[in-house]
Amino acid sequence: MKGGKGKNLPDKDHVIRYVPWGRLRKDEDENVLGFLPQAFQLRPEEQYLSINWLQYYDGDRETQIRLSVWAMRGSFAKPLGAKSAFAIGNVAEVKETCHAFGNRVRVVHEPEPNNPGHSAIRQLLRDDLSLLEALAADAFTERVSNSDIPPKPADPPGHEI
Amino acid sequence: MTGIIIQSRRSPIALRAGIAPELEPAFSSETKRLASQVDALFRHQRSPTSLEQELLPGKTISERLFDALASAKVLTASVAMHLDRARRDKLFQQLDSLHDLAEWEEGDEPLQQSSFGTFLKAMLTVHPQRQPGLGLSHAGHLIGAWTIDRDHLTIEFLPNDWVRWVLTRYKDNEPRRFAGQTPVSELTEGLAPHRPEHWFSYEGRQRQESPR
Repeated sequence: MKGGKGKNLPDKDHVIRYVPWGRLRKDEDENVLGFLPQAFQLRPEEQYLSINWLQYYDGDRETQIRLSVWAMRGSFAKPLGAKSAFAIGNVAEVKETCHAFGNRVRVVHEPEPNNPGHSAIRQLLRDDLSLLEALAADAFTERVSNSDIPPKPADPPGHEI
Repeated sequence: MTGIIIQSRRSPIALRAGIAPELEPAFSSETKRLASQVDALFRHQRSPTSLEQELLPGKTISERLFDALASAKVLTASVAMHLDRARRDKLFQQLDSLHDLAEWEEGDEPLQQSSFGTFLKAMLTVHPQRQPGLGLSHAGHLIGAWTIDRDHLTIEFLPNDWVRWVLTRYKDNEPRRFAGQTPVSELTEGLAPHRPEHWFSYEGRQRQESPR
């Protein structure tokens, strides 16, 4: 198994975060333009920002994104909205963006039973809107729509012994 | 990268747009008109706590979303005379979309009415020609977003007539960031050094885009 609980993710790797419809940056006609700073804001009860490690999975980039999204979908209690999206950022960019605001974060692997690529941005400042805006604009620069990722195929039947 | 935080020392309780009678001669008719519009909101608004959603244990999330939307629409109706029909319809569409059950994020709070009251006051004060895209924080605060290419202005409408905002403007391919937190009555003042017309008017945007 790659990584391991609490291990730092390599700087060259990428992480992906689920962003609900309400935290997507839109124009007045609801065209999606990016992410709001609040997409990266910790909830009061959260100790870290949840992300997934793309390179946990082997394969080309498209495969890594698809497998990560399937794992994230499976870890939520209800289906993710069709208009929601995923934000992708480079690990080093995330750390450098935070560092520019005096915030030294750690980007570490935090596997969960139903989501082995689950990871975390730890020690992120809770309420610095400028930092959150920088993460939204400068660090998480790629957007993938949830609707662009196909559903996970059901396990083929007939494999019972 | 530069940044500035504007933290007003004024108490939120001191916030009122009304003009004292002895000062009236000093204000223009436009300022008086805006003040009376903002005051109309205060007259129609109940106390901030009475406007929040009741957290009844038996209510399902879809009932809470419905209640939040209904309250926001009732509050909007109280200032309907200040919003044209097209603007009101678009606002309702945006609010409906934010509260779509299929898109709802578990654990989020529906729109807080005191945040929506702050939003309406801001819109009546600033009167932006370009309307914002809307979002919702996990605490149920409405978020207004103005975007011009890579330049962003984001305003979070907090309860009790406060706003916090952050803006990014690119110069020589480098981002400049500024942020502030002020009473809604001082939003215009807080944004004044950052060319608010860039965000709020179509003309400002066209000037920005025209060749230099």
